[in-house]
Amino acid sequence: MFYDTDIDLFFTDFAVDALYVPDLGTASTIKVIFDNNHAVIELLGEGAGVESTAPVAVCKTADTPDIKRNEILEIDETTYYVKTVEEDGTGMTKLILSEDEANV
Amino acid sequence: MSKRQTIINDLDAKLKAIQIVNGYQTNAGNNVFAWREDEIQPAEMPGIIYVDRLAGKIEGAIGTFRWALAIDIYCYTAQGKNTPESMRILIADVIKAIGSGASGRWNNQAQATELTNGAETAIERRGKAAGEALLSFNIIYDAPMWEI
Repeated sequence: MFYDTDIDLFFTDFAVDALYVPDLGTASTIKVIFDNNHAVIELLGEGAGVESTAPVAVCKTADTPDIKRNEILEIDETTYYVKTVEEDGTGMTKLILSEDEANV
Repeated sequence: MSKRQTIINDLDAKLKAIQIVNGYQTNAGNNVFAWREDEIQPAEMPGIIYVDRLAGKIEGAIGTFRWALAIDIYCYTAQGKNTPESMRILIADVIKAIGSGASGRWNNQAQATELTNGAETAIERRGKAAGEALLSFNIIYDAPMWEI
């Protein structure tokens, strides 16, 4: 049996603090497991790729129940904008991030 | 030097002339690469890669070889949330550069220049926003028989 409190175990050793700034409401500090690996972005699928990174934050769904695209996470003094929100159905949410705000 | 190489040299010069001081809207001319396969770095955008992928022989006057030199130009830009707009600006600069001078005649070495596929564009925001566009065109030129 998997309980909500078990999720906390994932955030005990490897999580970092992130400031979640929603469009509406108050900013709050949450725990996230953050990765920011090197990535090569293939745009058209031909030509050269573009050097980039692939920032991802995993957090408890309970900490960000209403998080949505283009809201802000500040991690290690860097501002990230939420690109996509992927809930896994077990109480965890993966946030795909960008250093650039969406234009629409 | 072959006519093909002479035309490519002219293409390279025209793309490198894409500078704000020359009346363009970007300084993409600072980052022009031929046949580059390595990834583009963030500091190299706006940037341009060109490849002369195919020289097709087409029907022309007797006694000459008429060539359709297919050029692909890949444009790269990264301007945060303004990346779509900056990509449109870069595409406009590249088209203007190709048509500069003797209107696609490449110093009167070619018969014509034809844009073939317009401009295909893709934008991605993961990590950092970046955009790529592809412009394809053919340069039609005549060379003496058995030359290119």
